[in-house]
Amino acid sequence: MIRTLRDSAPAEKVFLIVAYGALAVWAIVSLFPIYWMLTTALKPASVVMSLPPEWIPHTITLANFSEALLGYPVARWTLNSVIVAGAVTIGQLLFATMAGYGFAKKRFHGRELIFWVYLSSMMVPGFALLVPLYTMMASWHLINTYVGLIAPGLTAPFGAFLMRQFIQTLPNEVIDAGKIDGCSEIDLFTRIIVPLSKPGIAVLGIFAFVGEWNAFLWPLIITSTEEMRTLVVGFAIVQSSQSELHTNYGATMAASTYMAIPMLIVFFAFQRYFLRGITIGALKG
Amino acid sequence: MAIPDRLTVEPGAFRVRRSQKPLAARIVEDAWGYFFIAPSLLAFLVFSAYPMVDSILLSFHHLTLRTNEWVGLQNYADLSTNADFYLVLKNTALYLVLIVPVGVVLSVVLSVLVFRLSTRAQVFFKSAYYLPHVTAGVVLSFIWLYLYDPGFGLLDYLLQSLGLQPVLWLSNQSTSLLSIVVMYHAISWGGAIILITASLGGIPEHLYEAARIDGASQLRQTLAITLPLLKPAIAYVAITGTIGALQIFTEIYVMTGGGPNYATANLVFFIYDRGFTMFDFGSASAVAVFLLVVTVAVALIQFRIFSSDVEY
Repeated sequence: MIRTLRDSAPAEKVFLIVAYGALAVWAIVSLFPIYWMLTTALKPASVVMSLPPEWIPHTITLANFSEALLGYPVARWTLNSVIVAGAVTIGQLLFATMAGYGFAKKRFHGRELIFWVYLSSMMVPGFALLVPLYTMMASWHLINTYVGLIAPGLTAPFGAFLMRQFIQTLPNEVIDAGKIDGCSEIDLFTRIIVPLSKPGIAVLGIFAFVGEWNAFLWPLIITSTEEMRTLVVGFAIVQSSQSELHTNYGATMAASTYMAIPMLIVFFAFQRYFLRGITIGALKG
Repeated sequence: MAIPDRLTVEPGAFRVRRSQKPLAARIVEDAWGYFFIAPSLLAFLVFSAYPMVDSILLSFHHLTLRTNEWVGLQNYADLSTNADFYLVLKNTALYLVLIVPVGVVLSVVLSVLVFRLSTRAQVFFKSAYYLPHVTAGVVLSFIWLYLYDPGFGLLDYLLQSLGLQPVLWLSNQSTSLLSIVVMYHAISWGGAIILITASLGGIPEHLYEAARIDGASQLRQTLAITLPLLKPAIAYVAITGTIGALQIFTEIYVMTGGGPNYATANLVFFIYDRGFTMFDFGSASAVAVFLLVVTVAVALIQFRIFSSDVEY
């Protein structure tokens, strides 16, 4: 199916040129805002607040970063984001890998029913659970605590689904071989299933971490003091307290860059996991 | 986040084939199965299943920070006379209509185009389209706030260089919702494109060869082979796209705060507003139950439209 410009018929050439054009336009729509964020963050304030815009920055400064990062407890917010995203990721990986193994390789009564309930629950909008989760956390005195921030993230039917899809592809023979070698059920899981599931675990771990790092709604609601906020919530509240006329876009873009860079690095480091991971969950259903 | 593209589970697909093992062995087998799903199931019951039931119960209460009393259907009755509720319903419908069909067509067209390219070019474009998915909604909203800014934003600068009047994108009631929709399109379809492209790769080449031998045109091949075989992937994108479009929140919260005059507020923003700025939890729960019903209804309608068995 792969054709290049050189060896194609004239009609095909036209098609490829139009195709590249359309794809490039959409790539610009997708990438330019991120480019604009990165470059604006590095421009002096006088340039940010003037027109015509500098498409490529002439002078580069870190002034926006010092303005965006030094005025607020950014170190604490960063720590909070790392703690919350890290804990949710580890919890999800443990729970989802165990559950995925259970659903994929174990036989027990009610398996298909429970799995079906998991699948259906992915349709339920998170907003439908917001108030009851909040009142639950309030009655357990977990508002504005790490446990309150982390706990609801541990329910991850999608993770269990993804790991089931992955573990199902592992041959039963390796499990049988382990049993013959005298592995206990726990050994089978930790010594055979987990090592063989590493690609799936990596995909889920990356998705979970990026998702939690970027999560907004729950951390917004469950935190009530400045020092418990995560990065995205902290900066979102700073932004909303600025008046519309006085938004300092240089500083805002510097804050955005600070939040986005770790995830962009994760993305480029694990690019192929992302591109493959998206299809594991959906297509092998 | 994800629903399998096989929308129905065939009877027997999951049927556990039991060997004639003794009862004790079967109990042990069951026990280990439950052991492995226990942590996940417990978290699910506490943080998903119970809140869902509780949501319905709370919607029958007058629940604020200070009061908690049973009021029956009062919250629902209040909603039915609340003008804001009808406004957010209308806005939610607008978001759905402006986002889902356009998004599905856009994803399919871009996927078909991407699929024709070399592997390297495919990786480039897929990555480019996926990049906004790893960027926080708050960050993207900040960037677009800047792009839409009437004083320093690029969009109005470009309009003015073309000799056109600048537009108050986000603060004008007639353009604010549309501005959020445009931004939403720009950031939302990378995952769908990767998915549909993968699905295109699963269509056997011999079908196209057969069609070419029969003299079918490119267009005819697309209509008769590609689209029908893409149906499961398209259904998946349509349904997850709908669920996503029903729940736009971060962009609204950061870029417009629901305004001007609630012109961009949708059902989920209304839930947030009722629950966490007015602290009227009972009323917020009633809206939440309504959202749940709407989501399930829309998804079921789409299942019905798309469901058909595709055999290669």
